Amino acid sequence: MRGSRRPVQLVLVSAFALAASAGPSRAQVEPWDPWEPVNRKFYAFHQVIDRFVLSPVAKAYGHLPKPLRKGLRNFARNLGEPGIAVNDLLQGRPKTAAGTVGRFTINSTVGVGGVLDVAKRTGLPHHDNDFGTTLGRWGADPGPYMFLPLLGPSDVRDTVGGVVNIVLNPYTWLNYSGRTEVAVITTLENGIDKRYEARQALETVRETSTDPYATLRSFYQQSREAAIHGAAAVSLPDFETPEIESEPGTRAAPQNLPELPDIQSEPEPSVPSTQTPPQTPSAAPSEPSAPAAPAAGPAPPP
Amino acid sequence: MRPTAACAALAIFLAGVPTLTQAQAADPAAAQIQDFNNTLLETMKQAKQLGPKGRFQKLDPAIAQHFDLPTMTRFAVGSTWTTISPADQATLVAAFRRMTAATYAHNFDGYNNQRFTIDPEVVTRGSDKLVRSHLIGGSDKTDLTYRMRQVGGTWKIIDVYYNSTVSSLLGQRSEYASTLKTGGAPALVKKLNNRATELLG
Repeated sequence: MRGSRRPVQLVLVSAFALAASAGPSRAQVEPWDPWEPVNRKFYAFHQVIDRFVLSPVAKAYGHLPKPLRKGLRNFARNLGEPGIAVNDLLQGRPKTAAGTVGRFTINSTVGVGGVLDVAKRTGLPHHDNDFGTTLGRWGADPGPYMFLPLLGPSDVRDTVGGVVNIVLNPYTWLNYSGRTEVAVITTLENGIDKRYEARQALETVRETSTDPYATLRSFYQQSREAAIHGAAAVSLPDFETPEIESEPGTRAAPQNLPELPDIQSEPEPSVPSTQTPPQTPSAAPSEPSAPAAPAAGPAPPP
Repeated sequence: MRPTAACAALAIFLAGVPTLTQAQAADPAAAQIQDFNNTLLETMKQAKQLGPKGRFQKLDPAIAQHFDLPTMTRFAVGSTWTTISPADQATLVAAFRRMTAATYAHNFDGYNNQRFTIDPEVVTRGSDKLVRSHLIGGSDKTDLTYRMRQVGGTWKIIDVYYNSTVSSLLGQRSEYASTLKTGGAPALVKKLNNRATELLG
């Protein structure tokens, strides 16, 4: 595949086909999880892997000296920056892309191959970006929820995005000695680091939720929608609030504030609730400074 | 309390609760948040002496006072709420309240110099208000936004947003759906009460 553009085009076409087949936009009120039975089996399987492999590895990782952990994280992140720059461009953010390239250049040189995050101190902090986010900003719906063993929560859009991410990263196409080792180390580091960072959140979910699978699903879907469409993506269209409906201006959410869910003031037990169509986010996404973590990784964004 | 602000914030996300202190809040909705935060902070400072059950006893009345629990329960249950008998609805609200208080009592089990702040600007959205606050512990700072609605002349919390994006009520709605589908309201009440008992263990 290396050196040929055809496979890239094929993957892109597949991505659009899958995204297009994802169906109409679904409000987050009722999570779109048509594969729930299979997802729950994968989730249960993942818990076993997590208990005996991922969690112990993350725990051991936590015992590494902090500077070493930070260096490993910086190194892995730096190798992902070219892919982030490509996605910045695809989302029509040339200034952000230029900053990402500058960041990569500074950290790869002055930052000793990316181990030190020198660019952060010069006003170019890291931000996440991925092709799942790009698809979302292009208007693709997330599609059904997916729980992937080893990788964790995802959806069709982010799964496709994860594959395309690999294709879009210039490092995929470069031939250099030790490329396989670097790819393996980077992938492992990203996964272990995410699991380590999410350890307390996951423990809290397991302890306090009556259905951890569903809680993680909601957390994941809400975080991704917010990362892609801005905070205004949060909406609950199941219950009407006439006062809000009659004042169109009140729908516009201020930057970084959530869209208000519709909750009736007074319960009417004898009257069925009125279903309203899912709402379109009212605030355009702004330049992302630090979107939520992408789908890849064994745990939801903390 | 657990070591990081992120952990505490997730606890809030899961329990659907708020917090705050510091300068007197001029807005009545923000004042409610501040009052609840004072209780929470006080409980955190006495966490070890009180134990889980003592923390529950202290937080439960504050949660009942500052949260519109019937509205929250109805929303978390979703559209099937209208098919549930009034007696079962009341039992669900009680279980929701117990679980909320138990979750707080479980998670806020210590104090490590954390503090809460409230943004002076309160956003009005329709009939509701959004009170934005921050949970600060060391270098960690987490945004918590509270959606509030006036109930009988008092501003009460009807939802909490973690990092201004993740709705606790949506999380609970997702959490309860499967149990409600398979076992109805009695199954959910049983699960909530059992889990609350475990947390207060």
